[in-house]
Amino acid sequence: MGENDTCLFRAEKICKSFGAVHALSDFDITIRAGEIRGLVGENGSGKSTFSSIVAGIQNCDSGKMYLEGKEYVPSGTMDAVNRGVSMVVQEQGTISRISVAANIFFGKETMFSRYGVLNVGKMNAEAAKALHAIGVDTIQSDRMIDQLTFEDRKLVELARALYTSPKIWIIDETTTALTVAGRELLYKLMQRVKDGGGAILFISHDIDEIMDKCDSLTVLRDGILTANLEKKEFQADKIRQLMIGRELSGHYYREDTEEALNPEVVLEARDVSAGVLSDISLQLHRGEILGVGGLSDCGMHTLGKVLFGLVKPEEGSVLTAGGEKVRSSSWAVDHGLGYVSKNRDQESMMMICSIKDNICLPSLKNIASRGLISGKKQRALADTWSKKMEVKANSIDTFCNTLSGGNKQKVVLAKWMGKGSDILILDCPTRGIDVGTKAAIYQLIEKLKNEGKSILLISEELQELIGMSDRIILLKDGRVSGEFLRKEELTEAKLIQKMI
Amino acid sequence: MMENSKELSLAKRSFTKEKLRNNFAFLGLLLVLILFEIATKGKLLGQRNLMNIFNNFFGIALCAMMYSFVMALGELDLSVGAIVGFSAAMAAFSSEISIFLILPTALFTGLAVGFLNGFATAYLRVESFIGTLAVSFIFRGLTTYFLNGSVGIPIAMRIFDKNEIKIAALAAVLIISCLLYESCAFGKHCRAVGASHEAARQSGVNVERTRLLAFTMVGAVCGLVGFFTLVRACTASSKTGNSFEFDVLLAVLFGGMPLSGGWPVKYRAAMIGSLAMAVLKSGMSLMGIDGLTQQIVQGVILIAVVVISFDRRNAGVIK
Ligand SMILES: Nc1ncnc2c1ncn2[C@@H]1O[C@H](COP(=O)(O)OP(=O)(O)OP(=O)(O)O)[C@@H](O)[C@H]1O
Ligand SMILES: [Mg+2]
Repeated sequence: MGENDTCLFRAEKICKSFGAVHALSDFDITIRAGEIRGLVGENGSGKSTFSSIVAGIQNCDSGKMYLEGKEYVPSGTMDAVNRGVSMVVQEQGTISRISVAANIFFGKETMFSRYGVLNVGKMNAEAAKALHAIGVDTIQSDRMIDQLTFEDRKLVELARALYTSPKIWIIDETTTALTVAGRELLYKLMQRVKDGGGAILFISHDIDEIMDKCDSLTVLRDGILTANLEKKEFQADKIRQLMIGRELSGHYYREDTEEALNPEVVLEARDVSAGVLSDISLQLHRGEILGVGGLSDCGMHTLGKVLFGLVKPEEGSVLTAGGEKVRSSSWAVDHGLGYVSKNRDQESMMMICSIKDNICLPSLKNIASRGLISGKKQRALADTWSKKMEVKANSIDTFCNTLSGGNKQKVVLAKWMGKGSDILILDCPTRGIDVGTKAAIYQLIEKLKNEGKSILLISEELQELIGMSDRIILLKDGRVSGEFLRKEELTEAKLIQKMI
Repeated sequence: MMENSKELSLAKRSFTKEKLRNNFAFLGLLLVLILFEIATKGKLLGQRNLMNIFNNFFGIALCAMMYSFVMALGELDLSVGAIVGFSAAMAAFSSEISIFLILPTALFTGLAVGFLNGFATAYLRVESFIGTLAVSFIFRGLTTYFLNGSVGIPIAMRIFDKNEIKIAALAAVLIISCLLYESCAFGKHCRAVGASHEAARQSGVNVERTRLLAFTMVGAVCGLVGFFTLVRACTASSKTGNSFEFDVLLAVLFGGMPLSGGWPVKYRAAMIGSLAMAVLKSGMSLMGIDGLTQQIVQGVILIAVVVISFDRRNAGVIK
């Protein structure tokens, strides 16, 4: 097989700028039929920008694209889909307040309408088929999308993207938004598209995943193509170095082991039941990093919300150090708690709003003197923390909806660092963050621990839990199924045993 | 080189566009001023009419300043006219006991109805425009029922209808609301709730209390407007405060506040919009345009303003 005859998609000299920011400069890529092509790069390096250009979400400033040898200029997402390019976006891509079926066939409703009347029954049945085709039978197609969990909504997007049997399937940072089972499903679907002669453009920050799943790899740095690698050339260190342009210095996770717990309890759940959670009791000690893991639907995300006062427990109670009950999230913030949700775009961040205002929001009362807040203090606070978190943006007045996914996450973290809360509940804090910054965040968490702050780390990445936690609690179907102390011989396999 | 200059001109163009959108209200105000100044052959800005403009401006601006908080929340309050009428009526009744009760009664009545609005919106989770519309009907009905025509107060109360007092009241409300809006946590919380109530809640904002407070403050200031309306006419009738809610709504929208709430809601919009409304109203009466036509014109402007000021950024690219 020659290289040229299998070339499915080609892009030449793609440029895209937003004002002074060059998101892409002269980017070239060739994707062959039947391959999984990885696309990696630091936060804000232009991955999402490129994929959204291919998917017809936005136009490039200059450059040419070819699909199956013919010039390809999508006029919009529908046009792209009709020509065989579909995409699963990094952010939440489902539309609220309509049904699952309406989401799957959004923009294609005419398929089911006759004389202008939509045949909802037929659409629901077809949506059920589409879901079944990707192996999801647990989601009813006539339900409202808002009733689904964050992870299930992503599955609906998969069904939507695959319904049209795409030739090129773009998957932008989707694995971290899925459950473990969902991931397996995704890999299976990728294989199916690949076997069918299609190609996949796969974006992820998880180097292991990239090395495992991809056939070839393209590395971007600041909108410039830095390398194209074939599978045989894959080496984790090399990829990381190509991404960030320097050697990753220092250690990644914590290096110390086995440390005595401080007996002082700062946050405690007593016999809490809420939703799937039943009878959960746990204690968070001062200066401790407590990891909480499990499969995504085991209730660990709800647990974070219960502890922060966002979800009222049906039974039991959540108490702080003084034995006071956590009443609401605003009470919790006043008493030194902070919380980062997994659902960043809907819950953690104001999109049509500047970085500065996002960072300052929880700290407004702290920086006020006699109730008045000066603009200077706000700028100082936002400046300090957006610099420390290395948020890539023109200024702190940049609106957050123009930031790349990982940079949004950095702003959310910066918000709580600026507040200086004593207890942080972090739900998947490093979701969508590149390796370089991840290391920095781990160091930051360790520093917080050494300052005597307590951290509840909810995570789906077992490596992260093992690497960072003093103690790990595993949940299964809403109950505590195991507890492990920090030890060198702790392995992923041991944890998984307790999870399933 | 070529590319650079192209980029620069592009950036410049989007900059001018942004500027135009931001100053849309100023331009509108200027346009209204010039239009009516010509149409009334200079009478609009004549000595006598300036007083008229100020009186129009006074009521609308008082309310619009507090209305900013409700707009920032992304909510509406369609009951402000009814609150003005009801609090004027209650105050008029209280004057039969003592004239010293007039002001406190007006303020307290307004505050109480505002509290009701806030409670319905924040805790009962009624959509604000439905809830306040219902409240508006209820209190208009009650006003008509209690008043049974009209009730007067001692003519001596006219002494409060002085410019010095009005200017002092306006200045006080201006200072309080501007500080609250621009420099206090409360104003920022309102905008945060409007931008994303879930994100605000998870950042420690007490969303319900913020909503309750904003509506209560609008109620209280409507009580104040009720008081000044009462002392000017010295009677309260079921017509008091009629269509005031539209004047205020039109003013803040004309000033450039987006209906979607959040951070694009600027405080200065309340002032500019109120001024434009005052000029518009007095200009139209000067030209002898009858009430019905005035209503039609206002309705058309309302739609036009909403269309033009629609913030396209909200409907921007989803990545
Ligand atoms: N609509 C926009 N307006 C202004 N700047 C934008 C816009 N969209 C993207 N950018 C900028 O373009 C750059 C590339 O963003 P992009 O989203 O492609 O990054 P990414 O590689 O997907 O990063 P991540 O890994 O964090 O998702 C960033 O600096 C971002 O701030
Ligand atoms: Mg991205």
